[in-house]
Amino acid sequence: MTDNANHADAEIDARLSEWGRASRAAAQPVAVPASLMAAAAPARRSTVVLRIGAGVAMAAIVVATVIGLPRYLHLDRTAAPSIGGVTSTATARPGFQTVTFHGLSITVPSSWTVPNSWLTHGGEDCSLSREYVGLPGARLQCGSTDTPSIAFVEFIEGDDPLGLTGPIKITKTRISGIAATRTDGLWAARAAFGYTVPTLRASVLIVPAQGQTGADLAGSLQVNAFDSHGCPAAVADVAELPRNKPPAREGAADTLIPGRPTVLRVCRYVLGRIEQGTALTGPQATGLVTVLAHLPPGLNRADPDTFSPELCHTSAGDVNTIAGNDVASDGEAYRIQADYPVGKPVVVVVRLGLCGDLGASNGSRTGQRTDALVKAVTDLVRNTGGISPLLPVR
Amino acid sequence: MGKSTSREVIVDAVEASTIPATADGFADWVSPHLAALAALAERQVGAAAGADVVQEALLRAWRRRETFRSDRGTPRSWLVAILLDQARRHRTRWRWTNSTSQQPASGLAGPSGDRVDLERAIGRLSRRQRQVVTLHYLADLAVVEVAAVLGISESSVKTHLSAARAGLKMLLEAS
Repeated sequence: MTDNANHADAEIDARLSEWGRASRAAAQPVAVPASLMAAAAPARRSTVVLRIGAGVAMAAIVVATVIGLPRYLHLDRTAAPSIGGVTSTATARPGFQTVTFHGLSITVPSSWTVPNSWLTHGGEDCSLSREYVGLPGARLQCGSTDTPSIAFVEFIEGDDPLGLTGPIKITKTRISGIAATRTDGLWAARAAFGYTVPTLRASVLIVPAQGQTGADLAGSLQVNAFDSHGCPAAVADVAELPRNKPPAREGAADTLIPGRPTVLRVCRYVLGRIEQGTALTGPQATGLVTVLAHLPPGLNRADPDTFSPELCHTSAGDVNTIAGNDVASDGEAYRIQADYPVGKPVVVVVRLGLCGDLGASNGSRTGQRTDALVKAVTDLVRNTGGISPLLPVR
Repeated sequence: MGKSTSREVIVDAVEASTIPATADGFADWVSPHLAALAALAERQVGAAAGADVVQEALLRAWRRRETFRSDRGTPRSWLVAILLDQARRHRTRWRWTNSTSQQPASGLAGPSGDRVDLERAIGRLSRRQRQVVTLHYLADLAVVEVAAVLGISESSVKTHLSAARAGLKMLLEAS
């Protein structure tokens, strides 16, 4: 660079610096949200928490979630859609239920109830205290987490820490044949332990009540390949939809779901992990098949003028950006499996936004993302990642 | 060029490696970054929605404070990354719910004179150049922080910044 070039560069640099300073000074002042200030609680780390009142066999499962997710009406436990990767289903063993988080399940007494609403930011600890207030012998203050008479189980996302302290002992183990690690340590001076299943990117922390071992809870742990709706617990997370493949069954090259399937399993995934699922039959299934049949062939991409595609994940393990953990919804996708009385199922993968291909594909027939598709799918299993405007059809 | 060096940023990161566990402490922790976040939010989503987006981003940061890792970035770069994602969500939802091709108001309210010319010139840069200019000068991120937010190398950031300055010089001279 010549002296003149250096001078010119410095001049522009100075103008840009002044522009930045003036812009910051001119921006409207922003205060820290009042709701945050009201939530002076100790740090929490997981997005899904299961708390169990041990000894008296009473508990509450508290599902804390990301901002903006919908309320969940828990009307029928065995038929309820999974939420946030969690399902609670009755077991064949009377008096027990199995709670599953991203394919990792634990069995607890059915008297341990699942709260019927999402807890929102700022209020989760207070809501938690309300769950406990009614329990005999348990008086958990808002924001407090340590009551020795209360055992709890806490599901933990990804590689977030278990939160154990003291002498830590880590041992290799397997759950349902899947590699896992068990970590023993202390949680608020209580002996506690947790299991981490790397392939599920999930952990479970088990803090027994005083005088208990938690062995029964640990012994009930399982890794499930499918949720209660027949949705695979994990699928490949791909930004590009399949195409130009041989049809899965006759007619699949012409229409996304050919013939008359007996059941449609509609599943939502984030970065390849099950988040929510449902199973459709009868008119509901027919309605979705009709929407898919009317999609114009082709796929779409989001309009890059409306968001920053550079921030999209490139893979589930992408840690190139420090926001990596915070843009998981970019990897949101839907899987619709059509089962037939005879023959192979047809699987339609749907992506609605923001990153990668948008639309639907069964591998041999594609369909553009239309408003009708967005509504049909999100009405069934929601959407958390946003719906982007589209570029012209390719 | 009057910006923090990588070493200074690393020192800052070490000093701020733990986010306070109390809301009051968190408020103090984010306080030095609020003006930059507000300016960036206004540029991303417009003045009307900027404050809301910042507050939403702060709530997300608070809820996810245990995911902050000082070895992966500074507090400001972490907050900026969350803010950018929040702004993107805001824009996509805004577009979807309004079903219109009209963009939400963007840019700073009422720039004048030299800033108008500069704003126009910045608007004519490539997407990546606009990103690095905005993050470096407006959000006041050091080169290493811009690299962390965008997931690109420091040398790449420097290259884009240099090209952006050269482009701006030509654009401003031509205007």
